[in-house]
Amino acid sequence: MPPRRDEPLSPSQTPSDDFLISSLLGGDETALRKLIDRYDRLVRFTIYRSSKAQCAADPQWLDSVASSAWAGFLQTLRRRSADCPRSTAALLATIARNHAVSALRTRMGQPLATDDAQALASFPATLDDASVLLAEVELLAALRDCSATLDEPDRLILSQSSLLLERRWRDAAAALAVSESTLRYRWTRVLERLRDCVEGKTGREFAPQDRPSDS
Amino acid sequence: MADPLHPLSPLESALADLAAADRAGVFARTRLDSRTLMRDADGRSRALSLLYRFGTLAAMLGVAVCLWVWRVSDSPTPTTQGLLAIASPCDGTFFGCVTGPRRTLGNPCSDFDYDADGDIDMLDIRAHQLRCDGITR
Repeated sequence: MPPRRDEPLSPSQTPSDDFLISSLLGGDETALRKLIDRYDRLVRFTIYRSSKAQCAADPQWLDSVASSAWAGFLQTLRRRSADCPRSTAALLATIARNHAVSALRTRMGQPLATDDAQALASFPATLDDASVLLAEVELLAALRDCSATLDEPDRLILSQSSLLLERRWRDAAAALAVSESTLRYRWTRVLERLRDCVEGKTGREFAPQDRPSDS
Repeated sequence: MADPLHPLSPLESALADLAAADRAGVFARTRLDSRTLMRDADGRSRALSLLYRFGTLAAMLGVAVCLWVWRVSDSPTPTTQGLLAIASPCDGTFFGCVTGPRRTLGNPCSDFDYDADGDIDMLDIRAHQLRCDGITR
């Protein structure tokens, strides 16, 4: 059970969002750091989802919008004072999205890129949709963590994923100095290991059609 | 480039998404100095709060001044207002008493000197009309 707001926190307990926010409003800087640890990935992913094109064109942009989103979050909390948000994730996703949209629109004299416009149009509009973003970023984070746990030969194959995902088997096989058929077999094994690992971490089960094809 | 004959499985699509997100720096840590951030937000919210308080005060003061000006300009002049209780007759006598400003009044006309300044001028005419003719502004 998460601690109540007025209870001191023991080191073993995981503080709830409400607890952290009320500590933050009381001036506790550690609480802010913990919230950043918990949600920075969501904030950055939300901004990235708002404008993949801009993030790809200017890596600093994501950082600066994320930074302004955190400042906006803090100000929003102070305006709300004792009133904790219904969902911290949803509030942060909304703020991050709004900051990304503002930053995109204030780019001097530059029209919105087509990709950006499409991304914004398909972007979750309601607070409840923040759970979709959270699920997406958790899946990617789990996939990233699982990739790091693969053994060396599998990681070597994964390092050629850009070629493999373009189905350039011959180029990838040449780069790895293995035969094409061996590479196809081992790629399927890598995907199976990743799938098992991600399912174990997220509890999300890939549907049968999600399983790697025998391409 | 996607191969229509060998489409990506959802897991492979997720790998492609992950690679793009990683390149864009989604999994990097935002460079934030939490102490500065808190100080800035605190300072900004204090400044906003002060601005809000002063703004509210100025707005209330403005409204009060406007109301006062409106009341003063809308009401009869203080002298006329003070003398409206004069029991002067509402017949044609008044018009025989009009002297114009700074003229001496004859005794029978003093009842129409609404502002008690020793003459029957335009101010007294206005006061007389307000009292006797029901003329409103």
